[in-house]
Formats: sequence, structure tokens, C-alpha cells
Amino acid sequence: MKRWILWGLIIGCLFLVVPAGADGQTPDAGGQEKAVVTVTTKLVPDVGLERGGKSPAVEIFIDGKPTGFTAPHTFVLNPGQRYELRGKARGYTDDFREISFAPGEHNFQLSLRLNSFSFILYVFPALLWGALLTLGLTVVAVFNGIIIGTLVGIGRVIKSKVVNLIAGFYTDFIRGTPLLVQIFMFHFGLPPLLGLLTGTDAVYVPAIISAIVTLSINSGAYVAEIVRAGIQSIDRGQMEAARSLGLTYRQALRHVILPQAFKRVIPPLGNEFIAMLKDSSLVSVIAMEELVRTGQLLQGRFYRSTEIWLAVAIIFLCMTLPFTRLVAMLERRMKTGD
Amino acid sequence: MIKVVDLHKKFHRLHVLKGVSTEIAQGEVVCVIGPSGSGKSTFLRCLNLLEEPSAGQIFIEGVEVTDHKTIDVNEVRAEVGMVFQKFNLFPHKTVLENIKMAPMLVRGLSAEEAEERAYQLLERVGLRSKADAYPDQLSGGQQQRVAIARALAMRPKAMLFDEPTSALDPEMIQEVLDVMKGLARDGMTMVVVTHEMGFAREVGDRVLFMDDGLIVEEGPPEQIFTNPQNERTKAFLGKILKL
Repeated sequence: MKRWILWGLIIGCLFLVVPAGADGQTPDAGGQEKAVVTVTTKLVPDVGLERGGKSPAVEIFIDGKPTGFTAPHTFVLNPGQRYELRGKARGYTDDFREISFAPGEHNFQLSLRLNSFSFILYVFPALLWGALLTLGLTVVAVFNGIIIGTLVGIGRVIKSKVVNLIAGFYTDFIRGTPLLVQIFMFHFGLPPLLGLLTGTDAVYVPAIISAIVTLSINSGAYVAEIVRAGIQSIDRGQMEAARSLGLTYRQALRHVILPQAFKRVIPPLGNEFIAMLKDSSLVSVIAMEELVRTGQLLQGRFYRSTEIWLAVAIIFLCMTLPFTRLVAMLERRMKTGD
Repeated sequence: MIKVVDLHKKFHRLHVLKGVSTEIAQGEVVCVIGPSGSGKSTFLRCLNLLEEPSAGQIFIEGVEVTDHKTIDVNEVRAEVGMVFQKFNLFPHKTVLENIKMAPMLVRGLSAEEAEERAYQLLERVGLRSKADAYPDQLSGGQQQRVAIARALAMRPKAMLFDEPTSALDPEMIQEVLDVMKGLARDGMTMVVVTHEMGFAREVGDRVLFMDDGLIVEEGPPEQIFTNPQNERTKAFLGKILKL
């Protein structure tokens, strides 16, 4: 209670003291009152400094007219007027301030924010590096996924109950749990278990390894379903014709069924690639600096979420759209080719 | 040459073949007729073990092929050629490759030998000029002739035909039947499931009439077509020949 009263007194005294001080500065000699204004500026972010290069100069405008000076600048104002002080710099949004004449010396700081377009251009290289990692992870994951998926997919159709069962368990588990949970299971859930098994402390795996392994295993299950569907879409008569000629099941699969199935599997594999390109963003949770994680880091640094997520979305689109078109083209060609 | 003893086939609860017994001699052409669902296709598919018989025995040249312990089904199938209703050519391979593949993979022929054999057979079915075409570039009749050549490339001891002309446009039926007649003339042992009564009558040495999973009546074509003994045979032929 006492403290609030004390704060009130302190603030009240400031009000009394400040105008008095200003009055005291009023020059008596010559009867001419003067106001000396010093303008400094701040660029947010200062791209020149960020890049270790040259910052753009901020031009000072008064009442919309260029003064021809750049900040920092000190000048004298005439009495009795209001002024609009404005700073302009290339790539930045203007900052302005209404000031009215008051005798004495004044300091103003204008703070210019990089405009949205320039900001996106500014963070673009960082995002592109992230996108490169996203693309790299996806290519590696889908490549491994195709190898795993082909084997598992074949494992689901061959005449072996044990293999069918194992392959079925694998696809069920991966397709029935969220990728996010799989990432956590591998990256955080597995190390203590490994430690237990080896009799040491938890064995942590680098995030990049966790990311590649989890995404590959995940992609493998989806590719397996694609391959299985591809094999089963081949007319039964093909297998019968091959077997009736004396080919073994293996030979029939290899020379008759799989070559036809692979052709049919290409468009859905393209879709799997697109899906993985987007889903790989989940590895951001284990600090893989791919596109989304890069976006999060930039957001934390600049607090400009609108521009950053817009840019992230645009980069994703630039990667997925050409692929979508390619897949559509392949699908059309398949239809006429069959 | 082929001997079938009390052959049964069940699909789960469906009893399709209920004890089929017959014997097919070397060089004989046997036509199997009967209403749909009578089990004639299943009977044919059992002969090269595409369907595994539920009970009964099949002997080919005196060897029991239904004996799992001693028999490699792939070897049996290699000796018995089969032609399907829907041709089942391999669409990703050219006509020549379709014919070459099995002899190379199963018989171990060199590419040159297989190619030479393929060209001879294409000559025989009148399609030498189509060697490099893909199946979908051929008419139905041409595809079926290629399918016959493909089966013959294995030099089978017998040929099975499963309604080989049923999927064909009428104007293409004759070209396929002509190839089959040529085969019969050359002494090939053939079992033909067919609705072509004219073919059965002209080329067949014997006709089997099947109904409800059994061979109801069998005999020379003339006898079956002009003087059927069994009531069901009479009813079936009555319906067919009216058309």
C-alpha cells in the first residue's frame, strides 16, 4: 500500500520537474527560441549488419519533402510549427513521427522495419537450405522405402504364412500409428532400451540417423501397400499362363508379374514421394533443421510469423506442384499405354 | 496317355468335380461339352494341376502327377500346354518374346535356339510378320494364335484348350479353329473345352458331355450329336442346336 503511494509521488514529481527543466533551457538572449533536433535511426533487422555488408542509408524527410540528408542528422526547427518527421530506406517500411516545436535539444529515433517482400527475400536463402535438407531426407527415405516396400510388398503376396504375417504386422504397425509417434519412439524411446541391452547408459543416435531411419521405415510400409496392390492388380490369368508354361512361382513373379506391376506402381509412388515431402517436416521435432524447423527458428528470431510461414508454404508448393503434374502426366500415359 | 481316376475337386463347400474318370489316348482329340458350371473348365485345369485335385489320381504317360512326394508340378505343366479363353499373352513382351520366354527359362534353350523355334511356330500359325508386335496391337484371333504358338514352343505332349474361341468376334473364330485342326492332323493329343459343336463334330475323336461335376455321356461325335442316350445330353443339345 505504501509503495503505491510512493510510486505516485515519484511520478507526480517527474511531471513537475520536466516542464520546469524545459523552461529553464529556454534561451533568453536575443529572444529567439530554438529547437535542435537530432534524428537517429534503427533498421530492424539491419540486413547490412546481418550480412556483414553495407546497410542502406535512411533518408530524412520533413513534411514529405526530402531534406537531402541521411541519418543520423541534427537540424534546427522554427518555432510554433508541427512537423512530420519521416525516415525512408530501400526495402524498409517508412517510420514517421509527428513532432511539435518545443525549445531545447531533442533526440528522436526512427525505427524502420524491413518490408514483407524484402524480409521474405532476406530469409529465403536460409529457408532454401532447409528445403534442401527436406528434399534430401525425402529422396533418401523414399529410395530406402522403395527397397523395403518392394520386399515387404512381395512378402505380403507370396505363399508363405510366416512371411505374410511378419509383413502384415509391419505394415499394420507403421500405417496404424502416427509418424510423429514413430519418430519419438525411435529417437527417444529406443536409446534407453539399447542402453539396457548393452548394459550401458542410454545410447543416443544422432538426429539425422533417427530421421532417415524413421522416415525410411515409414515410407517402406506405404510403398509395400502400393507394391502389393500393384501385384494384385495384375490379372490372375497372367500368373496362370506363366505357370501353365512350367515357370516356377519365382520365375513367373520375376518375368511376368513384377515387370507389369512396376509400371502400374510408378504413379502411386510419385504420390508417396509428395506425401513424404510434406510428412518429413515432422522430424523438426527432433531438431532436424529442415524447412519447417528453419521456419520455427527464424520466427523465434524475428517474430515475423506471417511472412515466414507464407514463405515456407510457397517453397513446399514449389516442390510439390511440379511433382503433382508429373504424376498426373504419368497416370495419363499409363492409361493409354495399357 | 492321360488317365483320370475318380477325380474330385472342392472349393470350400462347393463340390465341383464329383468323381471324373476317363482315359485319353495318344493323338486323340477329345472335346468336352456341357452347360456352364458343369465343371468342364475345372476338369481341364486339374489336368495340368492349375487346380489341385481334392481327391483322385491323374496319370500322364503312366506317371501319377497327383503324387506330391515325387512330382514337380512345374515339370508336369511344362509337358502339358494350355490355351486360355482370354489368351493371357504377356502384354509387356513382344510376340516373339512371349514365345521365347518359357523355352529359355524352363528348358534352358539359348536365345538363338528359342528364336528359331519361335519363328517356326509363328510361321505355322501364320503370324511371322507380327513377331515384333505387342499383344495389344493384334486382333483377338491373332492373339489366340500366338498363345497357341507360345504353348507349342514347350513341345508339350498334350494340349489343353479352355474355350479358346469364346472370347473372339465371330469372324475370327475360324482362323483359330483352323490352327487347331492343323494340330489335330499332326497327331497332337488335345483336350478341348468348347461350345463349337461344328468343330467337335468335325475334328473330335470323342466327345465328353459333362453335367454337374460328372461325365454324363461320352462317345464318338456322330453318336453324341445324332443319337444321345442320356436325357440331360438331349436337353442340352436340344437347346444348343436350336440356335
